[in-house]
Amino acid sequence: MKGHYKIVIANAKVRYDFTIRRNITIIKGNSATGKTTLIEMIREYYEAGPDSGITLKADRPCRILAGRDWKILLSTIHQAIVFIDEGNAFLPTNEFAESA
Amino acid sequence: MLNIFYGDMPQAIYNPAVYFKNTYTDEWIVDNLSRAMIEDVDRSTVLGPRVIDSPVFGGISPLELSGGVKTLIAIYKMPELVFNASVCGDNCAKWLLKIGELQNITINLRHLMDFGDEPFEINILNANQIVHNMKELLPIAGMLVR
Repeated sequence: MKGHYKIVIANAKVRYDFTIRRNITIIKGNSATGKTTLIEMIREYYEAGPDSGITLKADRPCRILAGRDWKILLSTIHQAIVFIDEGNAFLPTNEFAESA
Repeated sequence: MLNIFYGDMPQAIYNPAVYFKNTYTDEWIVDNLSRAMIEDVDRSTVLGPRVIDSPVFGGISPLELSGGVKTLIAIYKMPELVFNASVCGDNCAKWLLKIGELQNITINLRHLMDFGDEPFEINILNANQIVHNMKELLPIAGMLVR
């Protein structure tokens, strides 16, 4: 996707407010700064919606890509902002680079 | 000593947080060095083997520690294994050096971690060379993670 997209996601403990401006954005930082928590909250909101207790406002649907079946999952995602945690072994592969 | 293999290393455990989740014991958490790493990296205090006080989340379990500190503890407690330490932020670098002072460990890095301005001793395995500061490390590691 092109353009810029604002995302605000929060629960009772933490709140993220940021804008993604590139086709691929890398969120990096020191350990314990909330990167994995962000991914978990997006996953939980996708699974349960407002019943998760999480609020999410975004210009596009937010999805998580993870696991061995990432290719199948990715083929079903369109016009969405896709988040991937660093622990996914497919990340450094050429296969993923070609798909992304 | 801290040994580093830069770049792709198939035998390294790519997702240390999952390995930690399924292997850690209570003793790992209350160990003095683990406590110090949790205090420094996560700004959290170990109250007991199963409860940690986080300034953000309140009382949490060891499973809710950061990926970086889980990786540090796994490296410390299982020095015979090789973990992907690129899931650690730069705030973990000093602890990797500390663990390397206590025991012989090997980690896998896929990026250029900043080990700071102080001198150190790191063995770069895939260059077969010991380096003593970032100025010596960067040109060698830079070639290996391209």
